[in-house]
Amino acid sequence: MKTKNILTLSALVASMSFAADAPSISPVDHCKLALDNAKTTLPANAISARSTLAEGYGALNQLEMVYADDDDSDLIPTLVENCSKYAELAKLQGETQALRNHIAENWDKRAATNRTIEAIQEQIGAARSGKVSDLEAEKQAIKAQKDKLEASKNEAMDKLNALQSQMIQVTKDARGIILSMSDILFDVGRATLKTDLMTSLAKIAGILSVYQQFDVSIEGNTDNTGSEEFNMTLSQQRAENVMNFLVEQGIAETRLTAKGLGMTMPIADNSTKEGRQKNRRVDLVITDRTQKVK
Amino acid sequence: MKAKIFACSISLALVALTGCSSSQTAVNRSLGQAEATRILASENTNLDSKLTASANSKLDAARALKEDGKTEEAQAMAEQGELELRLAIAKSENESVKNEDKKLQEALNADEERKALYQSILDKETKK
Repeated sequence: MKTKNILTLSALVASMSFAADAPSISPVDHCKLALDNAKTTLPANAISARSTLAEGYGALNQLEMVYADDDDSDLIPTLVENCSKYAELAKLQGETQALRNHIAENWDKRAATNRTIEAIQEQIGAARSGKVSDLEAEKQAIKAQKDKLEASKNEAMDKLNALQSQMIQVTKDARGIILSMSDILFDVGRATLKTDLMTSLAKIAGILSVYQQFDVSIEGNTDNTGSEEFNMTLSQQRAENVMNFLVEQGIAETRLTAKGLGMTMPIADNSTKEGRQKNRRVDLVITDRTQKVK
Repeated sequence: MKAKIFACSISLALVALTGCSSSQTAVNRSLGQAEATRILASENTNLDSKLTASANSKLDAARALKEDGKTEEAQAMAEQGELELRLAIAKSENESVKNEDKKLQEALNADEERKALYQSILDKETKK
């Protein structure tokens, strides 16, 4: 139908181009063409446009009758113009209806888009609250772990404090817990461990085996009597012997270090007998590995 | 015979009068309808003034034709005047709907942009 109209229109244009030679289109055909052309552009639900078109076809009938009766009637130009106006009006009403249809489609699209946005917002909210609760749980776990380690450390400290005696001094400084063992626990000038020392070290090993977070740095120290080289060798040997004993007690070697410091780290005055006795010692510096990581 | 001629004359006169009366009714109806449309159009201030002026002059012409007894011409002219008023109303309505369509399209585009933005936020949140 559309193709037919286009062809008819083309024929009309062609006929108008050669109007001088070709017979002109009748007013009835002109009216019919205009109405048929308007009809092709109407959306299916363009009720008012179709009603207008029906009126236009009514006008076409009237034109046909008048034209058939008298093709030179004065009424014809007005009727043709009316016919064209019906076609124009129907076309305009159809265009408006098409716009209304587009508006309705866009409202549907908007509603769908907004539903999607709401769904996405909910997903964002869920993702965020999930992260917040994960983070909160992580914080709680860290705190619990920290509290546990602190409790464990205090417990270990209590047990180590219990070792406090005339021959073992327990102190605490920035490096950690320090157990200072008097040289009375060693044979004079030798690195061999005495029985009392081994008993104390066994207790320390027991504590270390329970509290796995502790590492031990064993430091041998001497006073300033004797040669520096001798003191260095003696302090190193004593430290190593203590370390070997702890390893024998089941403490992992990786948790232990031994070094001889000789007379380099005095804690008391070497000019007095008491001071020199204090300087002759083996220190066990117990550090918390978990604190080091932080 | 005279009686027959008289009867026929009366019949013809009645037919002519009836035809004339129905034409007058049709013209009056067309003018009345056009007048109603004009009142309707006057409520809309956004109508094409050229078109309404043309319509009004055609309605005046229709009335003049009616006065001259040219009923068919008067009816056609009244119809044309009314059609021009309807065209003016339809054009105004078309403009209004076009504006509504344009604004809604812009709102929809904004919604689509918002959707894309939220989607990108969601993608970032779930990627982590």
